[in-house]
Amino acid sequence: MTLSFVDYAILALYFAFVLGIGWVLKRRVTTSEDFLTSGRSVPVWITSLAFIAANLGAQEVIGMCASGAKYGIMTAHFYWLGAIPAMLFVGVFMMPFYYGSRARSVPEYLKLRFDEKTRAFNAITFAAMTVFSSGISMYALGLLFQLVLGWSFTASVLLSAVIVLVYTFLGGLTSAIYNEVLQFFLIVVGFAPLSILAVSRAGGWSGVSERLPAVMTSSWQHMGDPSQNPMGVEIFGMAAGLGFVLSFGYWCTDFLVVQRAMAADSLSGARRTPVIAAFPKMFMPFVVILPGIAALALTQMNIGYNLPMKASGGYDYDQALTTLMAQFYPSGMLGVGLTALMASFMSGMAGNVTAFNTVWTYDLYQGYIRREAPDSHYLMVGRVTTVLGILLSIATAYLAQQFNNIMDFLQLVFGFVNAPLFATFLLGMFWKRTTGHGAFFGLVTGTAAAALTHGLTMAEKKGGWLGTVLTEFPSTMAQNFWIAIWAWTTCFAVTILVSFLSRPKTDAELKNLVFGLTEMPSEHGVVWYKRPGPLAIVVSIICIALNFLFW
Amino acid sequence: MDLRATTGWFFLLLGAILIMMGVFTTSTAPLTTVNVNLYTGLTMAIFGGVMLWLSKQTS
Repeated sequence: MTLSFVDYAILALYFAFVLGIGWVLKRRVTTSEDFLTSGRSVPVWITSLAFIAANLGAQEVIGMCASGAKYGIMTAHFYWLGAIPAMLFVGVFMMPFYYGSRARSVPEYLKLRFDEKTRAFNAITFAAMTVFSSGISMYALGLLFQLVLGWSFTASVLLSAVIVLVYTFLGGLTSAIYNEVLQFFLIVVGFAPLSILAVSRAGGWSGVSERLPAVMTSSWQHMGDPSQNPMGVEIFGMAAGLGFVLSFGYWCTDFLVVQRAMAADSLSGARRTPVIAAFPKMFMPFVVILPGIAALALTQMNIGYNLPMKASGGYDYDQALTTLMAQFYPSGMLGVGLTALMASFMSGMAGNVTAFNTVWTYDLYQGYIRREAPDSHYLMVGRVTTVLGILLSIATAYLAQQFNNIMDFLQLVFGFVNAPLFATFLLGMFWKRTTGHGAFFGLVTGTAAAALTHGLTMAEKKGGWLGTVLTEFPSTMAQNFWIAIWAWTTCFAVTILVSFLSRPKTDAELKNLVFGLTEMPSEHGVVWYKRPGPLAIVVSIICIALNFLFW
Repeated sequence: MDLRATTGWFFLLLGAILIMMGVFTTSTAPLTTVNVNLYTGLTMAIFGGVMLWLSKQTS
């Protein structure tokens, strides 16, 4: 794929705007809270779009398109069954405690609700994970641009990192959030035409359906048994593992996304953020998954497009998106498409960096290294951490290039840590009897249960390192879902058990942290479309309709 | 800063570039006969215009 002058001009125009936003917002930063938490002053439509954009990294976009080609419309479960219910739940039910507690981060909420050790466990693993995942996606981007455009790995990694560094360093979280909105629009504008062009070239949805096996175009009909679908999962594993444990674990507890909602200018705004975000989110499968499905249909048509093959045989699904762009976008729109790819990468990276610097500065540095210092000191630390976070990400990207196995291993370990999290938050927020010891030991045993499940089961030659294999899963996806289910259940049970054996906090200590001891805001006289509950009902109805449409 | 205005200008400019590409050049893509630049450019320009109009409404 070769780019023309116009394509580069479009990329340059985008960089100019992104840096310009950072420059203008520089003036708004005078305290550490301005820099790290936006001073809780961002309008709700902006936090909502930032909420989904921060998750819409390059790996998500490329990965969802690849999954579309590999698994078909079942991939949409990551949205319709996974993300949407969890986003509604965090907005309607959990946000009053996050926002109402005045905590500046998710780990800080855990400190207020439970104790220091629970906070430290969450803060340390989260900080390590953000650096790791921004490094990994930087590596993926460098590799992709090397493959598609022939750019040098170092040049694309450094260029994108420096731009993200400049705008987050200047304007902090506000700058990251404002840019995420621009990035969100650009991602939609850059990829939606590809979806329309590719699907209509394949004869519309009916043409696509005729050319592919039925399992690729229906989301629910082939889930009675794992052998019926390419994902290798059955309905319970999907609903409990993905729909409940993994999705709620991510959308309701991951500070990367929750931070966007907490930056809203009011509690009502914070609650509406994920709910409003759910509107565009449920239509994203049409932008990111459909092109992948169409790519497979086009490959069957013999019209000059073929999904690239791997050297080892089989399709290289990760290239579906970029190869389609080369076939459908003329010079000009091609620039927009690649800029959108760059934008998705940057929004993901800025999301990680801004979450990392907040957790590092407030939870680890202020919590354990230097407790009492003037605010200007923490502002400085926040800025330095931004630079450090990006340097660490770059280092991770190069490590990933050298040692692929270590990276796979780390990814696995972080998965174990994440799986039980939602049980801790669910009990912590809705059962006031839950204690700090309960939460901590629940998390530790839940993480251990995840590792144990992985060690005792096998899927696609992964796992089984404990010697005995109790179950063989048809796919690693099914294995992941079941690891999550066991981790969650263990954490839930152990937290309850240990809580009964230890002394709970008093009601006064739990004010604004737990359901029943937190005053819910009055919504008397507020129109329905400004209330999270009714909005969530509208989202649910549309989301259920989408499931039926692609039944 | 009003993000609607910033977004508006960005997409107006982007749209203008693409419309010009669509009208004055014959750059095409292998698998489509549609003038992709023209239609996407128009959509972006309209979107940019609406964002600018929205920002004018409140300021």
